[in-house]
Amino acid sequence: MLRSIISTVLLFSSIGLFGQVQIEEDTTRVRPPRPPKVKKEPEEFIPTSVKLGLDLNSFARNFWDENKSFQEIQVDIDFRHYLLALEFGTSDVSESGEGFSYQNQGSYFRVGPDLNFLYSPEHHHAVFVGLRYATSTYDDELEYDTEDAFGTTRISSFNDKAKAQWAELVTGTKINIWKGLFIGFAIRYKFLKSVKSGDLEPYWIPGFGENRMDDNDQFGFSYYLWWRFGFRKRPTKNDAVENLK
Amino acid sequence: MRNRVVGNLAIVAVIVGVMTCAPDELCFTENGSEVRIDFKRIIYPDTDSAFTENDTLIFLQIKALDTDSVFVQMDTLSTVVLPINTGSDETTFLFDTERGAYALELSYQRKQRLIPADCGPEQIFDELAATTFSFDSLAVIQPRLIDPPITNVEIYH
Repeated sequence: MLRSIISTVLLFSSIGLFGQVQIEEDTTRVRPPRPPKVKKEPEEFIPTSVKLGLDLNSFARNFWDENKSFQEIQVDIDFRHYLLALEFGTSDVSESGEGFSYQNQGSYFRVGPDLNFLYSPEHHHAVFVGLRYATSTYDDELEYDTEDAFGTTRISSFNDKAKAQWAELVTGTKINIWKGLFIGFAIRYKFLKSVKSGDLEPYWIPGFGENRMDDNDQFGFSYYLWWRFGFRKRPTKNDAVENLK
Repeated sequence: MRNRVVGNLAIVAVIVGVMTCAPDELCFTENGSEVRIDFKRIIYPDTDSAFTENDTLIFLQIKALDTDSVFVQMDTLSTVVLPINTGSDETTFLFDTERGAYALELSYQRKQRLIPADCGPEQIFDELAATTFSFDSLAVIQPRLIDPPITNVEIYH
């Protein structure tokens, strides 16, 4: 009997002691292994390719509007996320109606950078926004008869080597559809127009479009077909890092 | 995922390519070829101030050089609207009134433009100036001719 009482007391006291045992916290700090230092390569802005494009929108208009003739080519050179765009075009516009005729011939040039949001060295698609500076040189002539209380007068007015310049905000796409062939479009917001002309206010500005006196802004649209000519085949170290992202 | 994005973009490129925009062609213009002349009388209530009020004249006729047209005949008016010679850079008006005969030569700069498409050409007359006149005094208020005309010249008596 005594033995069982002692056993019970020892059992409970051992349980109580057990409950008071404190587990020591491990305060040893273990540092996670540092990733090996990757030396950041400087960005290489060496052109990797050039795309030569034709504006199909301008080209197609030649078929349905016999009074207007347009040609435009675009060259873009890619510097990783950036593209340098160079655009050159010519236009020949004539309008005629009751007692008047208008002729306009000229050329234009645009240059500016694009930022490609879809850059990858694996493919060369582009979704871009960009800026352009544009300048145009043209000759135009307007002839018509004016009739009033003073009689009928033949008015002949012209501009020789007139100039215009403007800026453009551009957005669009360039999609690789087959080998080096790309299609895409560009929507242009043309603004900050500045026109230098004589007594004849030009009806048309090559590259800008209709010159509305009370409206300095204009929207434009280009639909391009490009062919890409690559400069280098091996991806750079930067490209390899870009692919890992 | 990337192929899907590229595919969608290609479709958008084709759709946008099919869409073409036809520009709106508006014939509206506010440029005019008539000059509006108001006749005013200067009132001096005291030595330090002055104001003007409409001066009504009896016109026997108003003509211009280089035309046989008579623009106003036997009328009592304080404002006249006269057509300028659109084929020249200047027009000389001859005013025959009960107070006497006056002449006014106006010069202006002409600019031509073609309003979009079917509207045809128009002239813009600006920088109106009175080069010669036999009235007491006058002032060019609005150097551009607009339609409907607003006061271009005020002639003071």
